[in-house]
Amino acid sequence: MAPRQYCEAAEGGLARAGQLLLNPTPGALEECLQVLTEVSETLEALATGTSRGWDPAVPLAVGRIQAGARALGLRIEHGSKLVRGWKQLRCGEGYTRRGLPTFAEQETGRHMEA
Amino acid sequence: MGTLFGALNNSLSALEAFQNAMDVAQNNVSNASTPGYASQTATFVADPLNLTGGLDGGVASGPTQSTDSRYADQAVQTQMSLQGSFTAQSTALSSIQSLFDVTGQTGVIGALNNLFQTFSAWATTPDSSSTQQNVLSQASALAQEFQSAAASLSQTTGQVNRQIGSAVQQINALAGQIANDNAALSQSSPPDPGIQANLESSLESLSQLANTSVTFAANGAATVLLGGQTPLVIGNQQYSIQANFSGAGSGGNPNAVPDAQILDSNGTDITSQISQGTLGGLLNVRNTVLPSLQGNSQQQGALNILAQQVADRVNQILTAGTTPGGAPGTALFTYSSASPVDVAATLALNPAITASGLAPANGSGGNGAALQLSNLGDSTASGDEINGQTIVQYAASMATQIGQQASDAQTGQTLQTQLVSQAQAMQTQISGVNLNAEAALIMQLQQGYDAAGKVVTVISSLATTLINMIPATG
Repeated sequence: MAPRQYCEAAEGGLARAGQLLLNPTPGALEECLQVLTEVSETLEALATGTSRGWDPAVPLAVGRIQAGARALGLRIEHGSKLVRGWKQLRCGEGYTRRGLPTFAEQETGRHMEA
Repeated sequence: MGTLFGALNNSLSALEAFQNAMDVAQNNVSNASTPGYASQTATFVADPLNLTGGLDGGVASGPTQSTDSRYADQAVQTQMSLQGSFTAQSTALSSIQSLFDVTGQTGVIGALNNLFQTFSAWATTPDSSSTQQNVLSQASALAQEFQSAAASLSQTTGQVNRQIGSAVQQINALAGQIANDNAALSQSSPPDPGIQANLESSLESLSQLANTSVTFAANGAATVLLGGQTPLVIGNQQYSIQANFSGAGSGGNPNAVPDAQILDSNGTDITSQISQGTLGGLLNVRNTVLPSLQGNSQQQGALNILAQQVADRVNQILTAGTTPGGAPGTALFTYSSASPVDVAATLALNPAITASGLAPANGSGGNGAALQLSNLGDSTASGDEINGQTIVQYAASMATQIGQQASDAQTGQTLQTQLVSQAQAMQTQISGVNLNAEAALIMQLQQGYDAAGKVVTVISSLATTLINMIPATG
């Protein structure tokens, strides 16, 4: 596969992962994880080669991939925090002396500090 | 091999489902705009949730479904507020960006480049009447471009003022509706679902316009604070805000356009409290971006600085020179000296100058002054530079900065649109799950996000590696 095709595959994967994040269900997130793992493997394969002979489109695509990954990271962080807030609301039992949330034993299997 | 979530349910201890304490603490302070994990000390997050079940003080009292929904509503509203800000900025900045062509082909920068090229041609044939005439034509064109840019910025200021006024009107109208709904809720027991739905709708619309925090009374009535501090609605009482565009600036530039102010119902300036929503975005453009270009009471503005430096240096070089006939040179440009913020708007070709009045000669030779002018754009002499940059660099950085701000706003708008969709999808999930299934779902989702987050970190790292592999050019 040519470097450009690696980039196209990675960009396609990131776009697909972004779509999946719009539907935050366990199934969609699992598929999202699989897609992201494939993107990671694709980029790893590209990184193990040499940049000699890259056509000019490759550096531009790499820049887009970096920006896309950053945006995806923010969206995942946002989703994660929403779920944490939801968990606190649903399973929260109070706070430790340090002000950190604790969670109900029946929900988590044991009493713990986040 | 089982699925990720299947494996999680079977083998992962609950402990692994949680971030460590440091991460939590860091998250609490690193992203105040994300509703969620509410540390007891992070009141900025906890307050808007108004957990009627009472998480404060460590009392677990079984949160109700409606509390969960309110949490989800707040999540959507927070993201909508940011989306409103980016959308407003993106629209306003795109019109400003078009004034400053970063390619240097059109606008002020294009005209500046043309003038320097004409100076260069004039230095080659200083006695040619056609090159002399070209200098006058291009100087006039540059002055017109500065005037046009200043007029466009002024026009944009007026448009943004009107948009701010409109946003304030909408906020007041929504606050009135909320106050009415509160009054109706106080009369109905149990709370009327129809009124509650109206209230939620108004709150969502309001969140797009400004950063608000909302708390709910037991009867469902909403107390709304603007910027977390200024009452907008308490019970059935509305506190109207107003926009003011004629406040006195604290600096010394006469004729400067005053910053826009938002005043509370007592006339107190609360502008600094409004950082998000359409109004927050508009205020940023109006009070930060536009003054950086056209100036205000405290600063001259990049456009005026550039215009004045070009005019002053060109005039100094020409008036120090001599014409082919041996007469002293004449200034090429004039501008109003009434205020530093008026330079670009009043820059003009000196009506007293003629082609034969151009002075190409100085002590360095018959074309010494013309040569100096042709090199002026790239000159690193201290008197020629602006804030450590050559004139051309300064003009280019002005255009680049605006372009970057417009691009950032566009990127932010796109991202926020996606985050609103995510939050709305979460809202749907929360409202549709029975309580027994809910805890399991929460665990699954958190594990999914955490796992995806780790892979994205790897992808970002790989992208950085690839960027470092890109061969250097030039």
